[in-house]
Amino acid sequence: MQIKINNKSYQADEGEPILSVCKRNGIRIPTLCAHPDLLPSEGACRMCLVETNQSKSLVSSCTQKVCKGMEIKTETADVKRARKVNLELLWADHAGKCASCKRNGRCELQNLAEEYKVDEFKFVPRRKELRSENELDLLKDNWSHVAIDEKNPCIARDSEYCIECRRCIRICRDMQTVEAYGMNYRSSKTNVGTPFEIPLDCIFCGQCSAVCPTAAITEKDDIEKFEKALKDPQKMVVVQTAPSVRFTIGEEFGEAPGTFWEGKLVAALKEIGCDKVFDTVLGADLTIIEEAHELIRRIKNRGPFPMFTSCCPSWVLYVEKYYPEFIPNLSTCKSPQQMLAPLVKTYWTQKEKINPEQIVSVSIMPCTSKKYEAQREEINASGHQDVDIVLTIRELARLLRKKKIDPKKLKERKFDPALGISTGAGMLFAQSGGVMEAALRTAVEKITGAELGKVEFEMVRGESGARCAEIDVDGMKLRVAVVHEIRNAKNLLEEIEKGKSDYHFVEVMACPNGCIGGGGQPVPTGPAVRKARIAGVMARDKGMPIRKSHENPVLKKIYKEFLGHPGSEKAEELLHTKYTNRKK
Amino acid sequence: MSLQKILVQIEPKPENLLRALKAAQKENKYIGEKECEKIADYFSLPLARIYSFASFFNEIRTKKETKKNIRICSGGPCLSKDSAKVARQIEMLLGLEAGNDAHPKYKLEYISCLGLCDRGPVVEVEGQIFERVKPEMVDDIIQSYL
Repeated sequence: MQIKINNKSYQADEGEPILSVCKRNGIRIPTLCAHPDLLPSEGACRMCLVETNQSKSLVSSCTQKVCKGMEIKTETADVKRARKVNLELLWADHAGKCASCKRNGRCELQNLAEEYKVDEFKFVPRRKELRSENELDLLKDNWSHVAIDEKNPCIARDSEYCIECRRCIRICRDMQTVEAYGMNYRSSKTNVGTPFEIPLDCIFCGQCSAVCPTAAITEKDDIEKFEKALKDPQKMVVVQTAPSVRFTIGEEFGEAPGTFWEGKLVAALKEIGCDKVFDTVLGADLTIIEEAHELIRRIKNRGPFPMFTSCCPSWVLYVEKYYPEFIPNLSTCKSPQQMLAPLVKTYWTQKEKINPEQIVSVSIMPCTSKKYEAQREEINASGHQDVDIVLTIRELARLLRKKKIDPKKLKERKFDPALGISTGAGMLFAQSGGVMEAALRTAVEKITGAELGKVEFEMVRGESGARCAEIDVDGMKLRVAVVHEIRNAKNLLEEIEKGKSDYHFVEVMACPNGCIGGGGQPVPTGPAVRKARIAGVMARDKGMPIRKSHENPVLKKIYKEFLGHPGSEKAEELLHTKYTNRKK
Repeated sequence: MSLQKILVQIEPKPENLLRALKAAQKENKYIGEKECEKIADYFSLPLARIYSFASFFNEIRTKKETKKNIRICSGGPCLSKDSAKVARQIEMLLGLEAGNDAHPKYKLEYISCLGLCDRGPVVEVEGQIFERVKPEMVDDIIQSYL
């Protein structure tokens, strides 16, 4: 059907909200609660008000569906005034501490306040603007209900900044099915929080911090620890960077999503004073070799199937907390971060004759959950804390901005070669389906003993939430599945429980599209942004000289000099872990 | 009666949640974390949803109450009939502040509508409801019921 927006005709589908028609045609409507990952929208923020010829009052364009003959105006004086008043009301309940805020310059509320010039204090009067004694309560009420959470290892919450848009509640409930947050209390005391104000008890995927429009939910800040380590002359700071970081860090400095910034990233890390920069992709290659070995062993022993990947700490925690009966199905392999770190503190320090006590191992991750993973006790294998500090991409970018370092201006540099040669397979870890494809490249070659003609496994690629494929390996039908987002994983687990599915190997990532959509990635995020990031990863894999993990020359050397062979006693000790039932 | 026995009598459907919470509170005086977890288990709902539901209602207490409780309706109709003046009178009499938890024995709270809008201002003292309260009646009520 045809509708008119701002006096121009547009094509719209029956039952489509006004907002989505506008978005498709490039007409901007400000929103705070609507998010491309959370559809349909709830209409909580009232920023998307528009005027139509169908009703006297303004309507919220995210919930109002189009109808025949509808004429919409998005920027009339009435609309603008209403939006501004709504913004002022939101601002009245907001902390407004922009200068010291973690999200300063990246805050959706701040951007809109700037656009609509919200500089008045109509709803929270200042001292001399008070007209009666009663208005004193206004001031106090504003701060009376604040929930702060600093007791969990990954996510920082401060409801002073919260504008009650409900994005976090919905992403936790609808996408991750964990539902750690709720809307507590009522009327002016309403706030988003955990039951009984307990410290956050979830899987720490951090999606809530990725969709939060303000700084109410953010990653826990470990910059201070990092800076302290950098300043300490006794310590040697060794950094590793995750596969996806190089594709997204550019966004924090104004580049398009998917821009490949490996050289700049390394240069920036060296610029702030890191002694060595290693590549987690090497850890990913190591994970693949061990995981492929485990898969082959399980095929020989006929189970237990399916084997789940264990690279995603949120997924591991989800199984431990909600489906502990599947713990034997989790691969015992550690994640790439936790494989590279013990190697740094054992193999590399022995080789370089450095005391591992002196090393501060830092990792730059797209993920809030890695902060938790690094603190798991059973994961440490080198005799020390394997990973000392985990920083998300947002934290690193914040630190770089604070130090006035612009990676754009730096000359590209290379990873330190001792643990910094990587393959295309490891690079694929950045996105959902990548672990599966990388593992298949190695496993199929190991099982058949012949070299793969075509290394791409296109059947496991794509963007849908759950994908499956059947691969013929030497007459054996290998059934594999790739899922991302916990809601899809939960469906799969339920199917397996009912006996409806019989996969051999399943890759699970908690975040949408894998690490590329991680909870510590730059904001804003959404399907379109993630698609661009994935395109960057795919292009890079294609351009890599080595595309299979087991052909990595550094790894061959490490196995020869130090670990022996995949699955050896030493590898078992350093690279594998065990899981505990954490169900309550 | 144990919580489990109370719950068994109620069908675990979301629409029965308020009934279950009220019944549990009658037995236990308040719904603490443990009770909330049991109820969440029984209804197969996440704990966060039960708590956000329970904390919405002034009738349901989520914390243990050690002080004597006076509550005043802060709905529009009651406010327009000067419930704020009544509150001030109580504050003066007992030497406390509404919404402030500092007094060792008593607590004065504003609550949301009790549904008695035509009979305001409404004051609730230890579960007992008083209608059409005027500031000069406060003395009597407090002396005889607190």
